[in-house]
Order: sequence, then structure tokens, then C-alpha cells
Amino acid sequence: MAVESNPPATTSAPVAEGSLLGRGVALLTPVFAIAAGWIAGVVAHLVPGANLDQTQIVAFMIAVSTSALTAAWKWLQGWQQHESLVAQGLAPPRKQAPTPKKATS
Amino acid sequence: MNALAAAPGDVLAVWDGDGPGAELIRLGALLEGKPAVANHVVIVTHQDQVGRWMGIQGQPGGVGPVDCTPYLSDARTRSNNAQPRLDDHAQLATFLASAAKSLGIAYDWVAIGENALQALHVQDLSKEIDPLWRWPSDHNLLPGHVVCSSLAAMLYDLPAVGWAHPDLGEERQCAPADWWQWSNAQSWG
Repeated sequence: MAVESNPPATTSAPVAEGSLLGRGVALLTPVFAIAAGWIAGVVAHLVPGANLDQTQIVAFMIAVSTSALTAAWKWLQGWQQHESLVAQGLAPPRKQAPTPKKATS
Repeated sequence: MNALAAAPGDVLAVWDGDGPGAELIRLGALLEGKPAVANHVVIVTHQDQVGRWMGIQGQPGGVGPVDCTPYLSDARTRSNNAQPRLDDHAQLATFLASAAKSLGIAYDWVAIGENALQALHVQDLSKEIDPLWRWPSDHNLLPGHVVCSSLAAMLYDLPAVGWAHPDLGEERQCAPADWWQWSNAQSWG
């Protein structure tokens, strides 16, 4: 696979993103999707004059859940780009990564 | 161009594109709280006749050769070039011979499944599927299936090589993010 053109490698002090924000979003994405679908169902019931039957409400819930999943995926793509920039030294980390434990062998 | 230094035996943890597969690997790293930068690992083996650093990589088509040049000039790459590696009993020669013998080893799809289950914190199920294609336990035997990062960990872990590496004892589950973190933090020190 071809590698796109990037800033050259350096041997300066290594940096890495230490924030757990990305992990939190990744773990909570299913919760977001289910919550969005549930809220969509509630809203479809409450909106006056909508008169949606059960099939239409389910379709609406699936559409909203998919939208939430898509938004989360897009956000996670952006987070990966952020970590890429931090690794290149082109952006500051939100939180400096802690030093992991040293190897024992 | 200011490229990273390289030597035979180095492991490069690299960003290898923005495709869905690469993004899913980095998403798995995110789920485990690891850096979401590297999605691939290559092992430096030699310089070719025109001076390019060449290596091997685990990939779905089987372990094969790779040109390391683009990765060495990518600022996201992390290398363990500075890691001290003993060579008093021909460990490097054994490593390179084992790397050559690894060419063609099939991709470890079961390990991908195990890694996915681990990322989702379903460790018990991950252990259940391991016996399906368990790695050999006899010394100095190469496994029949590897992914890019476990190939490097396995070669470092060979008893005749014995170099420090991430995921000690769990080489099959070694991920690109583990090598990236290993080199970024210089965890061998």
C-alpha cells in the first residue's frame, strides 16, 4: 500500500496523546446509538400531527440510530487524525501520555 | 530527508493509510486505551543493492517482503532501533534466518478475532477460541499463522533470540499499538 507524503521523521522526544476521550467515545458509541433511537421513537410519538404507524416509527428510529453511529464514526476518524498530528509533533496532546511500565525481561 | 536510522532486526510500528481496515485496527487500539496511531508493523531485515531498507511483514496474503523506505521517513513511525539487542550467540543471524523462514506463513484470522474480543473486553470468549489454532508450544517452532505485530513478537521471543518485546507471554495478541507504545516510550530501558 502506498504511503502518502508526510513530514519527515525525527528523533526528537516522543510524544503521544494520553487523553482517554477517544476511548470514552468509542466505548459509549453503542449507548449513543441506542439512546438516539429511543429518543427518536419518543419524539415520533409526541410530535402532534405526525401520525406515524409502527413500521414508520421503527424506520425513523433506525435512521436516527444510523445517523448517530455515522457521527460517532466520523468523530473517531477525526480523533485518529488528531493522534496522528500529535505523533508528528504538529499538534499538542490534550494530555501527555504517562510512561508505561518498563519491560521485565 | 531526515529518515529514521535503521538496522536489521528493527521493528517499525507504522501508520499505513486511512482505509476502513486500518481505521478499524486503530479503533480497536482506542477501545483498549492504547495510542491510535499505528495499524501495521514491519520488520527490517536488510538493505537491497540500491541501499533501500527492506523487511518482512505479516499480511492477509501471507508473510511477504516490504520496502521500508516510506515508513522510515514518516514522522508517525516509531522504531526500536535504539533498543539494545544481544548478539553474543548469533541471535541476529538466528532472527534473520527465522524471518526468512517465516515468508509465506498464513494470516492469523483467529488472532484477529481474539484481538477483537479482547478490545470488547470479552476475554473469556477470546480464550475459548484460542485452542482452535493454538500456536506451537515446543521451543523454536514457528507458528502456522501470524499477523504483522505477532510475527515480530514471535521472532523476538524465540528462545534462540530472546530479545525484550511487548506482550511478553502473550505474543499472539501483540498489536501494532503495543509496538508503537513500546518504541515511543522506549520501554526496553
